[in-house]
Amino acid sequence: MLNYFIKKLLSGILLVIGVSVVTFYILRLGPGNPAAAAFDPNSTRHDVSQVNHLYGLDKPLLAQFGEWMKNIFRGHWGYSYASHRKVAEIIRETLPNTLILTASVLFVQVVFGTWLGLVQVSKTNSLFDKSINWLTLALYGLPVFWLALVFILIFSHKLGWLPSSQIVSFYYKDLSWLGRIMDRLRHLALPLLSMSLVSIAVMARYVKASLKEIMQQDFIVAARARGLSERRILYKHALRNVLIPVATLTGQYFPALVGSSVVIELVYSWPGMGRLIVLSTFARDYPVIIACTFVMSVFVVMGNLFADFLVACIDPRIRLEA
Amino acid sequence: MNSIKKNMKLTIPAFLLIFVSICVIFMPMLLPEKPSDQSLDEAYQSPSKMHFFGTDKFGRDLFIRFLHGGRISLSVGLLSVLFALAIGVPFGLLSGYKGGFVDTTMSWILNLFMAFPQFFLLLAIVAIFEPNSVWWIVIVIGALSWMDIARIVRNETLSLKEREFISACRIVGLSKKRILFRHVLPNLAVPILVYATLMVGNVILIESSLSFIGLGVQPPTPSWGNIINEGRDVLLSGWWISAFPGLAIVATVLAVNIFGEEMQRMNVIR
Amino acid sequence: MKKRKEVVRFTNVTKIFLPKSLAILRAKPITALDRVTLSLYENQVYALVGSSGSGKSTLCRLLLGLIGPDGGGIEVFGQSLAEVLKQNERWYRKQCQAIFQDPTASLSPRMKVRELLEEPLMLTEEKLELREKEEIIVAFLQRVGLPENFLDRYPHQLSGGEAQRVCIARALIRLPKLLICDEPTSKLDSTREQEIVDLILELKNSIGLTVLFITHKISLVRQMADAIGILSKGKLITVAMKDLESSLSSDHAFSNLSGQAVAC
Repeated sequence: MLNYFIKKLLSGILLVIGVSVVTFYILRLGPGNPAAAAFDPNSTRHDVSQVNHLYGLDKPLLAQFGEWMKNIFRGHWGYSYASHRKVAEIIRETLPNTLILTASVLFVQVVFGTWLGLVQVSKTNSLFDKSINWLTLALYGLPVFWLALVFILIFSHKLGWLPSSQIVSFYYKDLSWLGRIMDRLRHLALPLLSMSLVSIAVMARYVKASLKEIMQQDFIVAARARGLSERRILYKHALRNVLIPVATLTGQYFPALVGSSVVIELVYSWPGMGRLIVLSTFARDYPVIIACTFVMSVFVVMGNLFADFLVACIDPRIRLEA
Repeated sequence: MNSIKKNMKLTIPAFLLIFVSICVIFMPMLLPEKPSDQSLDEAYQSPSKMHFFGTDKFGRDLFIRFLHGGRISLSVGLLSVLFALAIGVPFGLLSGYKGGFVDTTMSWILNLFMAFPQFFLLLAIVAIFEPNSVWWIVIVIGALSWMDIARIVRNETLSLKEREFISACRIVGLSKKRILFRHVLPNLAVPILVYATLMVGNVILIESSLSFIGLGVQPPTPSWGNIINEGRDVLLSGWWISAFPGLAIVATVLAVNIFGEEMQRMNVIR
Repeated sequence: MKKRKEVVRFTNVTKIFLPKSLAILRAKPITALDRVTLSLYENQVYALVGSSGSGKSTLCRLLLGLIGPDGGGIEVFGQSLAEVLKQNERWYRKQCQAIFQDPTASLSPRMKVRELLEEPLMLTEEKLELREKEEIIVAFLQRVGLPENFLDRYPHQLSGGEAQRVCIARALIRLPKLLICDEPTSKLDSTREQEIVDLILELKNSIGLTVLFITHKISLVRQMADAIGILSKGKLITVAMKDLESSLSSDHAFSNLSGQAVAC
């Protein structure tokens, strides 16, 4: 088990280094000079070369890369071209919001997805199973941003139940602590709903497929032959085994989840990393774009690492191999 | 063959896809209006006999725009997948067939690319390379979607390599090239086809998300994604602008997914 | 009896497998073959017997050059196998062919019988006309007892016995000198088994093959073998046929032989 952890950890660290190499090269290989882009087009060649010197852009590429690596891991990510604030500071403000959103989606996805898959298998071919099957299939192909617009139209504009943008109301400061929590939850509701519906569908279909496979294996047949109830077989024998694919899928699906947070944050004006990278893309704010990509990639690597550890903890074949 | 004809889960999506493709390919040829034709006095009209899908803020006919947009969205979907296949299949084949050190290195590169959240990397590349034509969008999306197919091809190749008939081929004395192209590749065709089909749906979603944000296909060229974006600010007063392209995306992607899943199921059974 | 030409010689061949995992330090390497020495003479049927996991298949894969030995030397037709494979693999593939346990699995699933039989012919030195190829293919198909209309069938449309006949035809179509049979009848029922064994024996005499026949059935050994080797836990002993006959008189011939192997 320890061996397994060390191996996974090392490969994770290696991946993070690889990620920083790729992001560095994307930034440098792009046409146009990142320093020149920050200033007005009228600047003279002298100005540009001075700026280049200031940013260290006149050094050889390898030296620049070393500099960049040193700076990233120290948290010195430079200044935003658009707002001239520290990039690290901007990230520090937006990252928690994205984390809140993705963490809640992950939670909802795992709980409801697994539950739906279980119920479907326990009532195979019932009306419930069939309708859920069609529903999840339909959700599978739904553009998340379009679903978000539909929800805004219905729940926000027509019914007026839930706010359609921002993370808190403008009168947030005047609320009691309970009111503050409620206010936050109300703002979280629509983004969470529109983002998690699709991920729940993905999870439910996956759980159903894996469970069906497990239910055909010999140890389940043997359990049936011993006369155990279907319920006990499903929850005691099958569920345990399905948790491994659930953990694996959660890890695999994490990048897509983070990706879909971009459009959701944009539609709901949720001040997170996704919205930040879109706005920065419009502003050609390269340091922020690169920082966003890097941070989110590190998160994906960490998420996968976590999923691997989880699998190791659940799966006795890995856990007890020592 | 008979079982394929009877299988509704294959025929219905297939007919729907053919119908949509015919519509977006041939209907614009029959209708004289251009998608950019404006008539400002007809702005924001709801769907009617004159304008099936209504008009937008410039009075452009949304049905015409819908058809032309569908052309763009579907072809971006298809071409990006072809591009991704062109990278992913050789990559996976090489990695799985060579094995050993080559495989270890290539798998690591694969993992590295998969560590990036695809959409973030997409945005970073769009920001830095500023792709301004539809072709660029195809290339960028394709270049960032090849990893899954490469992984599938690699794993399938690895397991095929262990099969007895491949050893038998080596003993017969066939060249490595011939074994790869005549014995390994044909057996990969079905999984590749199934995954490519599912991928078309996925890529259509990515393109529409990108265009919806405003960083994909640029107006006035229509695509289903950017038409939805145009209706975003007038959801209440002009619901029809976003509704129809959205439904079209849902229907197309759904059809592609059902078709792909059913193919996969039949392949597993066989 | 005149001393016949040696076709294959193993001298102290050892093969060790390392388990594939990070835990190399803990896991013990498995010795699949332990200093195996054997000789195969021209026109002989050498039967290799042993329980599963005794290293029979490893020996077979070594001889086919699919894996390399960790110690000792293999000689074929008087030359070192490693050298032959490096310099003239094509020639060796013409001389040495094999058939396997699962005939259906050893045929490419998406190729017709015609294409499968045509492939070895593409490797011949002189270019063959299309018509000539077709003639050879049909002739061989009939020789292994299959009608001509089987040419357009796919492997999954063949029964186990028919598939094994196709495999034999493919192996023999370039008239090799050495045929390795890795339990070719273990997936067939006993009637088919007898048919295949008869076919191999008949072809052996008409083409002049040397056969290495791997099996775990003593009845087959008695029927066809000129020499017999018994593998047990990676060690090999060769038994002369006369000794075999005497020990076969007892009921537990096979376990006796295995016991003998362990004792050595």
